[in-house]
Amino acid sequence: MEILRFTFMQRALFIGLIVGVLGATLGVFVVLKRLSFMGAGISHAAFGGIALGYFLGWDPILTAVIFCISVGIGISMLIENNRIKEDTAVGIFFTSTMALGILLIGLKEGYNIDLFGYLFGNILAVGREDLVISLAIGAIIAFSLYFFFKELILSILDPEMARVIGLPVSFLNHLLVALIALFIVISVRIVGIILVSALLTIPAATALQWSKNLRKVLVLSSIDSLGCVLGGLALSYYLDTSPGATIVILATLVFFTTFLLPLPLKKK
Amino acid sequence: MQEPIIEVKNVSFYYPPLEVLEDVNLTVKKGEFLAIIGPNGGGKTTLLKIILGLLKPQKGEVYIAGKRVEELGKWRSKIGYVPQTAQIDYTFPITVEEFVMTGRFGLIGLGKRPQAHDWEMVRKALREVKMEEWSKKQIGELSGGQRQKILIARSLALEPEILILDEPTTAVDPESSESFYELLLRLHEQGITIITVSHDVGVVAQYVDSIACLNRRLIKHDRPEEVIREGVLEEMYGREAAFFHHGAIPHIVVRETPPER
Repeated sequence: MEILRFTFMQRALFIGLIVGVLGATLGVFVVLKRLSFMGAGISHAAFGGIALGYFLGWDPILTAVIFCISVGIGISMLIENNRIKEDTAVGIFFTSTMALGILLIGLKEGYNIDLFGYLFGNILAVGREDLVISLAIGAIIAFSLYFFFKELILSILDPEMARVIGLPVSFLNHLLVALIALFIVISVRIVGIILVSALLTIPAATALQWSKNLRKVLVLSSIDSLGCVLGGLALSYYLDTSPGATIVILATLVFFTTFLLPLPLKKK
Repeated sequence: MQEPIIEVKNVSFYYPPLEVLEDVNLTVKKGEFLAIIGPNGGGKTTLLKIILGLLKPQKGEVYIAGKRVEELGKWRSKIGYVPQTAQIDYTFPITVEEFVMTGRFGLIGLGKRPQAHDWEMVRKALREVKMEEWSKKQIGELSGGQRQKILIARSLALEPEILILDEPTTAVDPESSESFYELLLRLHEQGITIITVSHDVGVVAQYVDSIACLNRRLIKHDRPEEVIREGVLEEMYGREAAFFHHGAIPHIVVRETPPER
């Protein structure tokens, strides 16, 4: 395989593997809990986090991790008592964190930050440390989803019953949001801030059309997502297109193809 | 049989400016089978939610097994609850047996998966409500009455010490409703404490140890027959209520006028 000769491509495919599986799995929770817009909101907040890192001279990715988790939990606390509606809270943070990012970059004189790369992904910029960070954060996400699997399911399905039997529902809500934030930060290099929430939405939404069995949904979502992420990366290499955009368009095509298939073919 | 397991002490609850519960006191003994009756808007569901710790009253305290309900901890996993209207997304990709299993999640504990024994309890609960042949179906495929049955099965699957039911037979056909009360009676005989909210005083009066009448204020009658005599119902539902009896079972007809506040 010609494309595997390049180190950057090997790294991108490695991260794509992690991102593909985790996005698909986490995405099933996101779609079932109707957090797709929340995902988009937090991913845009990553821009503010990265800019903040540059401004303060800290590691931009690690700053973005902390910033996104804070914003995510902030939103989730604001909406907890229904004082502010979820879409309103997301709408406010979505824009204000991006505004903060633009402001901070403007204030930092002589900046040479690869803005475009963060916004739309840049697989050439994937470094060795990105592999380590992705692996570490990926392990945290995978472990959390495994460990809290049944608790997350019940807190999404029937939060009232979850509280009755003593599950820490508000912790679980914050956890899910924190995991979304972590996922976004490791996927930014490949698909970019603007498109990253697609990975949390489209494969899961596609899989949910195919099956009403949670285990099958998780498997199908992972297969779809891996296919689209790895296939999209390869395709973008040969077509010389943007990897992030290629992945998202591919996933969208699969989604609509599934959507248009006659029902008896799908539901088993 | 004698020690109190649920104690509601001086509980008042407001949805300002509306007073929903006024200085409610209620003691339920271990193993008691109690029905709470009363008009719509009388605060029945609110009281159940306060007992469960889902709502916090502005005044008063609830104790379960001697502990404040806020500090129940692990004991919570022994309480089965059937809500009147569960806010469940029935398109959720989960089968009937998996759904019933969620009732045991508190018992199973964090980070652990259901074991053979847990599945055995789920099958037993599904048998109790005669839904075992539906166990592999997705929950969205069920009818209203069947959905109610799996909610009941979920509350049974956790082998409850306390069972709290909010109008459990609303969507269920009369035949299932009768066999359901027979089931509650069997559980009662096993020593489970049961609180059920019901509209149908005539039906529950045959089964329960005691009846509490709730219309903002609560009056408990340790002999269900008292409720049927002595004008208790007239007082609670107002003068618009009319009664007629056939056999031993009185029926209530309430004119559709909102209760005075």
